[in-house]
Amino acid sequence: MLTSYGPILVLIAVVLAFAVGNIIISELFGKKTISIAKGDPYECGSRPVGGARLRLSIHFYLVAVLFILFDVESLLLIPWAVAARGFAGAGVGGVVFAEVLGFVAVLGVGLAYVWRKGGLRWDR
Amino acid sequence: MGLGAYIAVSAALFAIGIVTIITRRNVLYILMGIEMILNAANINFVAFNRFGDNGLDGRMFAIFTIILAAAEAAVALAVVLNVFYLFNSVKPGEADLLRE
Amino acid sequence: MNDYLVQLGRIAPEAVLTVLALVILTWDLVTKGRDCRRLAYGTLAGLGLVVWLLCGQWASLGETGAVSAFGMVTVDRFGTFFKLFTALALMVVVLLVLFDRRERKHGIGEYYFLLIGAAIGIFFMVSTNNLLLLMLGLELLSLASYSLAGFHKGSQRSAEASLKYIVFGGLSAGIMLYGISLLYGLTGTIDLSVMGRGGEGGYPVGLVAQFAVSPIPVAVAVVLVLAGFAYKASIVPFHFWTPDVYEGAPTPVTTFLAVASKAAGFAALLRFVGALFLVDGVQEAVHAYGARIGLLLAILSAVTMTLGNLSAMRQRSLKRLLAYSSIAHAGYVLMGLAVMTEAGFSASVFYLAAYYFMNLGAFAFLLYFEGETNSDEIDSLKGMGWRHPVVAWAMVAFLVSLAGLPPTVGFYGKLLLFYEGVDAGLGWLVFIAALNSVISLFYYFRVAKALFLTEPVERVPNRQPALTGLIVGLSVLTVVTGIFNSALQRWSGEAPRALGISDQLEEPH
Repeated sequence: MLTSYGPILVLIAVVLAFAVGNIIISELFGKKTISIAKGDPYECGSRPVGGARLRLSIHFYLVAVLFILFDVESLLLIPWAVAARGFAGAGVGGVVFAEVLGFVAVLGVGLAYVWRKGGLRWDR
Repeated sequence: MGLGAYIAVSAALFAIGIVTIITRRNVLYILMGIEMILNAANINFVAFNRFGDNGLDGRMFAIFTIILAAAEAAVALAVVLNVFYLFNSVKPGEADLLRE
Repeated sequence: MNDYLVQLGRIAPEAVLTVLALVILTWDLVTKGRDCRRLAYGTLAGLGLVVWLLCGQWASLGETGAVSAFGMVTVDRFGTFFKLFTALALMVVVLLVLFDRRERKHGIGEYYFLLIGAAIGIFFMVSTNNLLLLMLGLELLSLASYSLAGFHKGSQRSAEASLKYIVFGGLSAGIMLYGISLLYGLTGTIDLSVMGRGGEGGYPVGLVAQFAVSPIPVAVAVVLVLAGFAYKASIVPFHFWTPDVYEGAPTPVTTFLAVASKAAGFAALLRFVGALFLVDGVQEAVHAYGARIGLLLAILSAVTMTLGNLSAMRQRSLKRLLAYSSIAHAGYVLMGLAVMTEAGFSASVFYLAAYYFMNLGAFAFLLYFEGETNSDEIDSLKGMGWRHPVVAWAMVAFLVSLAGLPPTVGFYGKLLLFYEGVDAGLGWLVFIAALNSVISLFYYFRVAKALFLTEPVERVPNRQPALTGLIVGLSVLTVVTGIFNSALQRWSGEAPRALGISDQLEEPH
């Protein structure tokens, strides 16, 4: 029964290897600059000291909303992924795969729109 | 825990949402109230599905409700932002050009 | 695989619309919004294809025939009827956007994209028995409408309209969703075709069985769901957004909201009420309950039309006047629903079709008038009849039809509704509706008076010939369908037959 948890162990191993590996690689090959800002605890770009009621650039909210949208849309892929194997067994796997490609294509058009309209630009 | 407990929670959430919408003047709170109502419906869907043993309808409905809520929140925030630019306020009472 | 393609073919209009929406958006992105005229023509061509597909669908479906696509979409004549009118109305709206002299050229691709998106929502909403798909269609329509209402980004009025719309819309959608969740819990299904009767062998439980055990929760759930439809169709007490949103939104968008969106709300409401209370095997079982729902609808109808008409009398803005008049018309349409028979439903459908013609025309006139004077006040209408006689006379045709006078389609629609109302023993409601028609005469006449009863002034050259052509065409349609109404009457009579409404009991309420 415990073997069914095998994939999770593999996932944990991959995640750990990815995280630790990235740190090691950047330590080995990265250019090193030392500044005061580097010593700060990471706070998503805002200053970590001072009052919490400061005004952030509107871009934070824009990107946050866009992230939520695409994040939540990808939620729809989960029931698809659960059901797809059954369809593949029934011999209509290709059609079902084409359907999800269509869904992703619609999301892709959305992303292209956001990109083209400059929703992802920081240097404005 | 029985079905009744879930329904009680969802009914309470629904009521809180309605009261929030009615009493608050700030549109962001109103949006929160709307989200609460949607989540109350979600609790219902999942609980009825769990206790009714009727396929996946309820769970699918819950997933789609989550997506609806996100989409609605995104559009609503964009609208609120636009209003904030033009009126310098997020209170519907202060946007009052349209009246008889 | 073959079966799959057959089912896909049944939702071909929706698929074409979806592809069209994506193509328009991408096209606009690639050309950076410089190609706005060709975008409109592209949209019109796509909509023409959709109309052609829908006509084929109507012909291939039998009178009561209903086929299903993937177990979610129910393709029948009822849905196709409303889809056809939605597509045609959308074509008119696209033309209005094209003719709108005050419209910004910037962002025109999004304009068409959102309009088509709203239409996709309507298409799914009017042709499904599945409450999940119905809710998704309704929300797609709503989300597109919120953005459209606020489309004039620099305009405070437009922004305020979209804010009010989204607050009311979110609230009523939430209430409706909660109602659906209760219905699901009580009946065990989200499929309307099973919800009434229940399934084989007692599962899903169904409304009839559940009603015998716990009538009050069922009533609460149904009323909560009705709230969502009432909001879409702007029925009292969910009408508050209507005048403000109609006034603040860009005029082509207002046209879309007043015509297509409202009719879609009614279409879904007709299907919902029909499936839950009036189909065979349900009507007898919950007759007392159905009668009570009918009474509720009748009261709402009376209140809605009275409030709409009384408020319309006090308006100074023509746009706002038309908004209140559309509330009043929602009341009239609701009359056919309150009758709770198939004949009543087809009277409602006929009236909605009539409503398409006359309101499209009235709003097209409003757009013309705004293009000329940059105002929507009734006072600035003065002398319009002398300066622009052609459109002014066309507007008179719309006003006559809205007021319900012969020989227009509005008159015939009202006649059908009154007849069905009297037939079902709702004499008091018909009396109120007749009184309301008299009240409405007053304010429609006020508009006509502003148009013509002033000092004659010089006729000015027509600067908007294309829009004039559209308005005249619609006015001809309003009058001609009023005189030769048999075809429209036959179609609207056939449409609700697909709902499978039982015709056994016709006792007075």
